[in-house]
Amino acid sequence: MFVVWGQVPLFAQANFADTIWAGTLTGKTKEVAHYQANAKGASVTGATANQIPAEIWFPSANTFCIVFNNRTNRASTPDGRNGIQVYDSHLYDVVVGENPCPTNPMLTYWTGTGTVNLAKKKMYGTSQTENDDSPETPTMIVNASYSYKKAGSRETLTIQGTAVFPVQGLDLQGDGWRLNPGLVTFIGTFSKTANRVSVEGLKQGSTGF
Amino acid sequence: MNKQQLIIACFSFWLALAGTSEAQLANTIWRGDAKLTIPALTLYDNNADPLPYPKTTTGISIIVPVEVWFWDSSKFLVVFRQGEFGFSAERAPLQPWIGEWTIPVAARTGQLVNKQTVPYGSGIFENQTGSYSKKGNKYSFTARAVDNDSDNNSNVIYPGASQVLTGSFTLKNAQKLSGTASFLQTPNPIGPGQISVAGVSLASFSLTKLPSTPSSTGVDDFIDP
Repeated sequence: MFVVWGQVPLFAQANFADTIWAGTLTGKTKEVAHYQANAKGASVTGATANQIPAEIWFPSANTFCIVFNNRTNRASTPDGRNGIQVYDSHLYDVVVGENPCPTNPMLTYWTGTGTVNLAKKKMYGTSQTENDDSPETPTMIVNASYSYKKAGSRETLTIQGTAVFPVQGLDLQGDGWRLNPGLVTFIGTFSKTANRVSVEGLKQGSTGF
Repeated sequence: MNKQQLIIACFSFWLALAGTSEAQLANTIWRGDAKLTIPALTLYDNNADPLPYPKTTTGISIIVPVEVWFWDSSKFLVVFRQGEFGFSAERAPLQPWIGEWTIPVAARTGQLVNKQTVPYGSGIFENQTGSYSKKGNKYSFTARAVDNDSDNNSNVIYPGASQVLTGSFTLKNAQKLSGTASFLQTPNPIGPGQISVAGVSLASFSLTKLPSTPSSTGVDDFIDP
């Protein structure tokens, strides 16, 4: 009796392996500044991007990645939403974390990592591809903590943390946009879906990667 | 001098003063930054449905480099220094944003010697006007962009769409200009695929007078290289 009470719901543990969670992220920036000839110019301060649709994929119980599902966040079809061509021919884009399906030929370029510390309820992920100028340096590093809740059949995951951008390059003329500082703080809530990483990860093109 | 002559003299003197102060601005260019505070932005698609990427962006403050061109003693134009804001060098350094679209004869020089209206910029609006006047020590201004054209721009702007910039400013030593403004679009968004701004956007600005003038420089910097 005591054991059963201890497992549900107070000490419920998520079963992450081969699951996909859908929700939204809210990201806050301090300053986005424009540089010209390496000199800081115009800037946008305090902008918060609210409710960015995203998915968290767990290829295994202790690995994760964040994936943009273009159907939900930018377009209703690969050809665009209501006449606007808003994304390329892929349905999914990996943003950060573990390669969701290394056997998918469309994903072999992705070398990022994403680990879940179940004991500490922490997540750590990097964005890296073999096409990067410096493939050994992550373009983004995510540190987050999470909390898991189960109410009836509904399972939710709340994560919050920071995304750090270690290298923010300007072009050869010293022109471009940079985050100051190079990080975004974020929070998001996700619900477990019926989709499986083992299935979605293999797909290509307009229905996959 | 009788009483009637005295009144006429005083009135004439007052008119001359008023004319002088407005003439301070005629044919001048002022440069500086405008700080915009935008409550929330939402992107919309062609069917005016919100695009959730993200759903909204809130709490935005932007420092925008601008110039204000006072064409004459009553007309003005706000110009966006897009080259300094991060736009491509393949675009003109200056982009007319809102205000009087008719170029005064004196400023029709350079490549645009025969051009009567401002090229490029927010040209999706059919009619663009900008006027200012002085009352006491304060100037007030209104710039209005209205689209009456129901056929040409229907893919980017709704017929009858308008945007209005109103505000006021003061002059200090004829060299420093500072004030506030508010900006409103109707409808909101003004067209398919455009950005909706929740509420009224506010701006404060501080500008200093440039040695150049519209009649000396013309408007060549409004044209893409």
